[in-house]
Amino acid sequence: MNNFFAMLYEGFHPMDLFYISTNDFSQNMFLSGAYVSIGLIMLISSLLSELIYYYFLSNYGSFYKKIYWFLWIAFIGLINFSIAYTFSLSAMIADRNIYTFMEYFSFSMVNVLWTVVFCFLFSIVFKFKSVRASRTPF
Amino acid sequence: MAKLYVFGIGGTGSRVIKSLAMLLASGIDIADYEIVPIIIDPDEANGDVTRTIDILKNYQHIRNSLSFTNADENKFFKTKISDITQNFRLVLSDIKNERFKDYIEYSSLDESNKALISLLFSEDNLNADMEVGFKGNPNIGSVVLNQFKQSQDFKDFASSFAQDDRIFIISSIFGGTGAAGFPLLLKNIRNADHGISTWKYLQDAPVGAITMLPYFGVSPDEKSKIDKSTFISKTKAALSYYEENVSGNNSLNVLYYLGDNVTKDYPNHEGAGSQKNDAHFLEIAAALSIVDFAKTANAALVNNLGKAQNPIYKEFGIKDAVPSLIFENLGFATQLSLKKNLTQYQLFSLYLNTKIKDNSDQDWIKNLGIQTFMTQPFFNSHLRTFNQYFTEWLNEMAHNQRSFSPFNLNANDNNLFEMVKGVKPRVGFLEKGGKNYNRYDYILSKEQKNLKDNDALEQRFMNLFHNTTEILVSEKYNF
Repeated sequence: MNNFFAMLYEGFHPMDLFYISTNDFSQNMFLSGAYVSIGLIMLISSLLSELIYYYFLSNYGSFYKKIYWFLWIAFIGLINFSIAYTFSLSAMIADRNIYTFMEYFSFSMVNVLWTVVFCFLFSIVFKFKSVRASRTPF
Repeated sequence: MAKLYVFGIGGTGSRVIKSLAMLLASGIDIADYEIVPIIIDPDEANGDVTRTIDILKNYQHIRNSLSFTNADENKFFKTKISDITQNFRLVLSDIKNERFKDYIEYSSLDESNKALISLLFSEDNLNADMEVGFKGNPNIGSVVLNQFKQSQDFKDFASSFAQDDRIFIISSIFGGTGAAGFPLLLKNIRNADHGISTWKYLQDAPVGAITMLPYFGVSPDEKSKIDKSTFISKTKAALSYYEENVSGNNSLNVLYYLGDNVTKDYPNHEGAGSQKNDAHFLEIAAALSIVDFAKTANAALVNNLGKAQNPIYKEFGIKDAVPSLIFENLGFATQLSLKKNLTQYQLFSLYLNTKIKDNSDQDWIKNLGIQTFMTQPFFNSHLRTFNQYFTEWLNEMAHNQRSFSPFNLNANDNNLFEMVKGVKPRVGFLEKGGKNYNRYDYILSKEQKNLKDNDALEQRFMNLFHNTTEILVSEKYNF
C-alpha cells in the first residue's frame, strides 16, 4: 500500500512528477510510512464527501449547483491539505528530519491535487444515482 | 366511448361549462364519458362565451397531445372534450342585426294579430335588437329559440346521438336566453323529428338538467333593459311553467336546482364582449351536478316514450353557510370530489406560472430536455393560456360573493404548502430537498427518473407533474 501511495505522491516512477528531492524529503516520507495514513484519509474522505454531496447535500436548496460542487471539493481539498501538512510534519519530526515550509507545502498541494482527482472520479460514479445532482458537474 | 352532450344556454351556461372544463383539467372523473359541449347563445360576442370557447379549444389542444391508456399515470385533462359544431356553438340563424319585430314580421301582420302581439310584447320588446341576446326577456327567447329544429347544428347533434349517450342542459331561470331555451330544447329533444334515424334514441335518452336560480344581481342602470328586481318574479313565473311542462310531465330524468341568497351585483351589461361575469362557486356546484349525472346508474334513468319512469330532483348544500367558503365548509362528498384534484392542479399551475422559467438548471429539467419544449405551442401557448385562465377562474371566485377561496393565491417560496386554507401542512423532520419549492423540485427530480423514455415529451411532462403533485398532496395534506 505504501508503494501504491508513493506512486501517487511521487508522481509515477520513473517520471517522478512530484518527487521532492530536497534533503530526500520524499524518500524519508516513504520510509516513515506516512504516505499510507495520509493517502487512506485522502481516499476515504474523498469517497465519503462525494457520497454526502450526491446523496444528501445536493438534495437541499441550491446545493445541486455546480458552484457548490466546486466549493465542496475545495473544502475537502482544504481539509486534506491540513491533514497532509500536519501528518507529514509529525512524521518528519518524529524521525528527526528537518525541512522547510516549502517541502511540506509542496507535498500537501500534491495531496490536494489527488483529492480533487479522486473527488472528480467518485463524482462520475455517484452522480448517476443522485436525485438532484445527476447533471453535476456536467 | 359514450358521449355526454352538455348544452350550455346563455351566459350562465357558458360559465358552468368553463367550470366543468377546469374540473376536468384537474382530473375529476366523469365516468369515462366523452364530453360534447354545445353553447346556445344568440349573443355571438358575449365575453363569457368567447372566453369559454377559448378555454375549451386550449383544453382540446392539450389533450390531443396526450394519451390515456392504463399505463399512463397522468389524469390531468383525462376526459375527452369534442365538438360537433363550429366553436362549440349551436348557430341560430336569422337573428343577427335583427329587431324582434322584424324577426316576427310584425309589419306584415293584420291589425288583429298586431293587437294580440301588443298584449304579449311591450314596445321595448318589439324594438329589441337580438344581436346581444334577449336581455332578460324570456318571452322573446321562447319565440326565437323555437327554431332549434331547423338549425343545421341541432340536426347534426341529433343524427350523431347514439344509444348509450346522455344529454345535460344548463340554464339560468332568471334571465332571458336560459329560461326560455331550456324547455324548448328539452321539447325538441323529446319530440325529435321522426325523419332523423336516431329519433327514438333521443326520445328515450337519459336527460339531466340544472336550472340556476338567482345567484347574482346586476347594478341598477336606467339605460339597461336588465333589472335585477325582476329576477325573482321571472324565476317564479318560469318555475310555475316548468312545474307543468318540465318536471310536471316527466320530461327529465334528473333535475338539479341551485341558487343562493348571498349575491353580488355585477356591472350591468346587456351583452356582447363586456358581458364577462366573474366565475362563481355555484358554477362549480353546477359542474359537479354534471359529474353526478354522468355517474348515475342507467337503471335510474329509464324512459318510456319520452317520459322518465323515476325522475330525480336534487338540491345542493354546503356544510357551513359562511360568506367565504373554503374546502372544509363544503359537504363531505363535495370535498371528496374537489380538494385532491383542485389542489394538485393548483400546485401544477403555480409551478408553471411562477417557477419553471427560472429553474432551467434543475436536474429534472435538464434530464427531460424541455428547454425547447417550453417554446413550443403545447407548453408556451395552450398550457400556459389554460393555466392563466385557471388562475383567473380561482381569483374571480375568491373575489365573488359568496366567495370560494380554498387557496392562498399568494403562496410563495416561503409558504408554498400553506396554500390550502384551513389545512395545516405536515412538515417532516429534515425533509429531503428542504422546504417549499425545494421539496417540490426534489420530488420532481425523483419522479423524473421513473418516467418511461419511449413516451412523448408532452406525456412525460404531464405524467411527471401529475405524479409529483399527487405525492405532495398526499404527503402534505393527506388528501
